[in-house]
Amino acid sequence: MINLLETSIEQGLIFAVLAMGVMLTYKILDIADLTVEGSFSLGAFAFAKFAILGLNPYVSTFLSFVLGIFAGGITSFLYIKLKIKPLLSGILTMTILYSINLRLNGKANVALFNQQTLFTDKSVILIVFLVALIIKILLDQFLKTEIGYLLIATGDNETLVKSLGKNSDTFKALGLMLSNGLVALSGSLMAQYQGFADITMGNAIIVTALASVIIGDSIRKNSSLFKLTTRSIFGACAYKLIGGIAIDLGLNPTDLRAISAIIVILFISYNNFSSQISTQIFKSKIGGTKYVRNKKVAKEL
Amino acid sequence: MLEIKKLQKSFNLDRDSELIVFDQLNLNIEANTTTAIIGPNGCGKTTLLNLISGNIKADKGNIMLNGVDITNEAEEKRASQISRVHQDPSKSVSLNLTVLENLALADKKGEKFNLNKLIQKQNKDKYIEILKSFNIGLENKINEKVKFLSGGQRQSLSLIMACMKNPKLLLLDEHTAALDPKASALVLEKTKELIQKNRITTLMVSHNIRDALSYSDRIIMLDGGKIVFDRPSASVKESEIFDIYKEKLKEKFAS
Repeated sequence: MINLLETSIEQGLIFAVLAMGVMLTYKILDIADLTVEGSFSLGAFAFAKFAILGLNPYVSTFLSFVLGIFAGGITSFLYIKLKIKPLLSGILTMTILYSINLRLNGKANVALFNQQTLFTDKSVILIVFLVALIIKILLDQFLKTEIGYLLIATGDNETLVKSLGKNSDTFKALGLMLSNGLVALSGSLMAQYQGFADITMGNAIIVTALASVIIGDSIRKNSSLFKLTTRSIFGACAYKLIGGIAIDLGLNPTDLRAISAIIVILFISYNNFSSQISTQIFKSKIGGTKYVRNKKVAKEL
Repeated sequence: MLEIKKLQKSFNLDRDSELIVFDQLNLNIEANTTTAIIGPNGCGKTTLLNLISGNIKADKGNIMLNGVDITNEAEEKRASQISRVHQDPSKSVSLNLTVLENLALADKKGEKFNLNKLIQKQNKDKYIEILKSFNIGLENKINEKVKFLSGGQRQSLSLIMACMKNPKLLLLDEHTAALDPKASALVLEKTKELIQKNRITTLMVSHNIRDALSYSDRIIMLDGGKIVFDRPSASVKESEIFDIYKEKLKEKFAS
């Protein structure tokens, strides 16, 4: 049981980096960016490539982050300059990345057992905790800056950003690039953690990421004490823990994806209808008075 | 101040649904005046504001602001001189940010944004003072998200944000149309105060003829993309405008 908890938190913290990246596009920019399916494995394969070339693991990890930023750049270019819808832009980049990932090492599965990684001779949980914490602090600080607020405003109201004399496209690109950088970083950490990079590791990763973000979102929903980054971290850990318990109880690991998707469906639909449900309960208590408590619009989730 | 010369704009050019909104429109707006634009739906009021703010591009003609041709300037570039308040109370603010954060953003309008903290402590008092001078209780809600404010409060905030950096030209696009009569009257009063205090040249689009007359120096009626009426507001009686509207309706039904 302790073992289960530990691995769940280790993996949860790695996925927290992923979740914070996806949070930037999904929660802040209001874009469902499918590039992450490719950039997650890109991070893993890039790390493998650099590690095998003999680069220092810190440098390799950082370079995979940089390559992720480039992947986000491709999507931004398709979306902003070529005016392709964001969903399709993401799918196209993801498809391009699939081929690139296979090209990088010339094969679909690269073992890293003999390579130096960030975790070699070190406490895994400490390292991943530090990485997640540093990224959380940096992101929180960034979102308080002038540019950070423009990023939030871009997702909220582009007309406002234009009226402030700024081109909102710049901030969409910034968000997409930063997001994919973090996703690739998470992919690189995952490859180092599990000891290999695999072409399938990015499959359905968007669902995992969304599940984490959404679970995190439902923690004390209306409290402003929890920042979006904190929510993503807790969400990712909770998600991994739920998954770990499910497998421990005898669930087939391959069924986990369906479970993830169902979690996402349940949470999103609950959030869409929660105001109605609570009104109905309220109504039956005080007899017929209809209260409209629609604080959140469906689009927000 | 604002000069519009031979402005031409049409939509869906060379198609069956081609719609010519403006053909050779000329208009001169004097500095420090408030001009109201009225007219039936589809007469081109909002299109005119869109053209001036740069939201859409003109086909032909020139738009000059203080003698500078801004016809080909991008919307975000014009924004440093032209502010706009939209009809929809949520269009000129960021709903998920607080009142304070919105004001701080508006305070940076037209400047360079970098990696400094947006909310500076020394500016906070300044924002609270501005809100206090507006006197509608917004100063007690500075940490409230804008989505929890009423429509009237949002439009008041939009106005404050639009006028914060003293724009050369203020465009009001039926900015009280979505409000109830009480809130609408309040916002209009506050608009007048702000415009007079900061001496801002204003173009105001309105459907409410009474408001248009009482809050402007000059009134212009557009119909079919042409100016059909243009007089100082003080010399116009409400009934005159209604009579013109009646005439137009008669013509419409007769054809």
